[in-house]
Amino acid sequence: MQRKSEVPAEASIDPRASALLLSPQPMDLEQKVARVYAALRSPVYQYLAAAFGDAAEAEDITQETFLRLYVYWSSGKTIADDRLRSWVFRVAHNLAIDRKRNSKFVDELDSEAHLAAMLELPDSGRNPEETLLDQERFNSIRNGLALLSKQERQCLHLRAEGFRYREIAGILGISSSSVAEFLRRALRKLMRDKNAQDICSD
Amino acid sequence: MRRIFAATDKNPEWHPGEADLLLYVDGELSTRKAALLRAHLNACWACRVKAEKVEATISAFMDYRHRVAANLPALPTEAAFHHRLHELAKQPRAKHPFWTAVLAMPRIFLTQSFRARLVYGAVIVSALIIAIGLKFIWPSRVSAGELLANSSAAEEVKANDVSLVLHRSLLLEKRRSDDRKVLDRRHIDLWRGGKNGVTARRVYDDSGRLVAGEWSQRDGSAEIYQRGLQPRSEEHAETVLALLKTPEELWRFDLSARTFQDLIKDTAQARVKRQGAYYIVSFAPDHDTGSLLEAVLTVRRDDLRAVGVDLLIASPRDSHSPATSARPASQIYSIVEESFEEQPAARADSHVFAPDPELVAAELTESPRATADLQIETTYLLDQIGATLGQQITVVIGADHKLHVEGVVETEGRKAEILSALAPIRSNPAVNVRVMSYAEVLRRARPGSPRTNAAPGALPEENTTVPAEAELSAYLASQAAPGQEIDLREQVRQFSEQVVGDSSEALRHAWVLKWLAGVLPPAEIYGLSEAARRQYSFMMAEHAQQVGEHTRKLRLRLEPVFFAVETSPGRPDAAENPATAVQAIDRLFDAVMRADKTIQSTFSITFGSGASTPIKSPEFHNSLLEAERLACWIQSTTGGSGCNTSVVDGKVKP
Repeated sequence: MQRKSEVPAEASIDPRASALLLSPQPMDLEQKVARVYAALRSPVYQYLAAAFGDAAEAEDITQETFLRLYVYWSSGKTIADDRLRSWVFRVAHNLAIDRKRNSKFVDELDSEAHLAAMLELPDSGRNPEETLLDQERFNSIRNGLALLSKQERQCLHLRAEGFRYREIAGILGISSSSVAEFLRRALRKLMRDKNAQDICSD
Repeated sequence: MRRIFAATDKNPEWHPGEADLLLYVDGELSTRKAALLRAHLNACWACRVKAEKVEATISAFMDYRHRVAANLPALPTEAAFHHRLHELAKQPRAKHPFWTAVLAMPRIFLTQSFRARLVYGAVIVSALIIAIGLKFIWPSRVSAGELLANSSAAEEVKANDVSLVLHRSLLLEKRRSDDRKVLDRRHIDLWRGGKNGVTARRVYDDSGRLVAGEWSQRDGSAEIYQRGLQPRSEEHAETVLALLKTPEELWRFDLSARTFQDLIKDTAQARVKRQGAYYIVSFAPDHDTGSLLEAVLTVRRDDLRAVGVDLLIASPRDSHSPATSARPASQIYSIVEESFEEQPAARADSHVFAPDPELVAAELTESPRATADLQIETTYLLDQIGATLGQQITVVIGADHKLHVEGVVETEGRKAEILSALAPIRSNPAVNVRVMSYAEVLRRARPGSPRTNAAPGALPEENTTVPAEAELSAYLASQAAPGQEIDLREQVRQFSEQVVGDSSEALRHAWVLKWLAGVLPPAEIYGLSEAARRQYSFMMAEHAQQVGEHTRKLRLRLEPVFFAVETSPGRPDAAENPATAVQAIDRLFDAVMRADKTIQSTFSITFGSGASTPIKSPEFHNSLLEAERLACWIQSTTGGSGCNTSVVDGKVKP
């Protein structure tokens, strides 16, 4: 009743998927995809949910994305380790756009409201004043986010995922300078709402 | 960006714009430009404030984002993904992926003849018609109740088919819910069916080692084997809810719609979603129902077979760190079907239904088992710091063959002392140490009283008279030097205190002796290693010596008061020598206890003088002498240094 020994449970998952693939043991493709999935599923899911709305749909697209990765790899193509993360996000992004075109996705105007509705501030051991301040800061960011255009929102969330401008440009299919501009506008909207004051215009 | 150079060169009043600040903060400027901007920021407070505002906004946004993420639905259907991936991997790899074929379609249209185009067109149109027709025939929305009922019915049919044997491989993974790190992985191999309807479930760890198994009959009775534990049998099938209380046994969870139905009870609360070739049934109890937070079942659409389940289960509350985290820690247990096959019962190997001898015998060979040696060593370590006195700590080998060191002590300091004394054996996997201080016990507010120190012999504070006051006073007065002023009352009190103290000490050491004797079955003493036997003997000898000394002190103190020298009985030679140490210890304990009873009733005002032997009786004197003699006997048989019972007039040895 001996079974073939299998890859042991990963000791820890590096947030950057590229490091994952340096595993010394040869893995079969399915395991490889499963590992990438384990490492990247939450960021991808989070990005889709934040940038497009519907969390349930986001989950489905997330799965679809990694199945695409399997198909891509099994057709013999390769992705450089340091590109893997942007590849996954690009596919996820495009899948989301496709779905939206098929009008399955909720209108993204609702998306922030949808997420915000789910939120309640935890009141763990803070004094009421702090909670109030927190709530204020929180609301201002939320209000600011509602003002963003969809590209601004996407750039902002991808930047928050740790992508550089060049990578964001690759994922969204726009130029690096557009990314810079979208990000500037996004932050400005968040800031303006935050302290109702316009800093520095150029 | 060229502006940076142009501006700084020409105009000292220039300030960077928002865009440049952001690029700078984001590290997207080239080294040179970044250096220029850094120089400016060093000089210009106004711009530095602006840059900080950018940072503050980023940090507020990240904060917000983090919280949104924390509030996203917690249990996405992980099992479903693994199953989809597995199915995808099983498909024979097509030379051309599906969409390359789709992309090639227009080319076919362009290159083929008109006739071929017509045929392709007809095929596409009819496929569309069929697809639309199917969509109407199969409504996409089904209720959870209906789905689970149908699925259970299908399972029932399969289970009752005696001509088939079912073989499934399942993967059980335990993950932490917050970062989904895999904590544990088990492979389950399941056989079911045949004419006996037996279900054999074998559990392997990641390295392919058989670690547990369950053999259950159709009537629900089951034999359960687990490495390191005694096999046990259950008369009736355990309910699935009971199973949730012992998550370490979730490998027994049956991946079926029936079990899922039992789990969620009210199917109206569950929601169904269609996802590719699967139905996803998810359920989150809307009120607190114990440990289950969420459950998701994945059911194949084509044969309604349950192929995956995710259970989000709250960890048992950790009493070590109460209220540190607002959300209770939780774990995801997912069971995914990796393979499924049905074979005719005739072809199935019958031995798959028989328990593996490896597993049945495993508990005898593999688990870390505490030995008697270990027990003695532990007891010895505790004895060295006096922790066995008064039964603060128990040292027992439990049914799981581990050595359990448990107890409750007065203070944190004492606890630390005990733990450090136990340091040499604590790393032993066969040892389980649980020592708590009273404070901890109170904090935990567990029902049930802790094992407390019996602490006998505390003399009451009030200075009232003791029963033997009169005789003692007379004796003490006679002992005093003529003309000396003495506080008789105080003297009586001191005398009583010393007597009661000695008696209690003797009793306590006798107690430990008795307890030590009971620690091991006599047969096992001979199986001890040399070192352990030496430790064991040493402890015996030492406690015997203590009993002997305290009894002798007692006797020497009491004899002049209560026994005239001439009435002193001879050595109680009538009592034959004990046959074994255990017998000796029993008798010693008995004698010391009898003596203590008398002493308590005579010198302590708390004790009602009940049925105890009067202090002046020869029986009392005899019990003291017997105790002394027995203590000496034990001391010499256990290899202690010789003792000297014949000392009657000499000083008591320290």
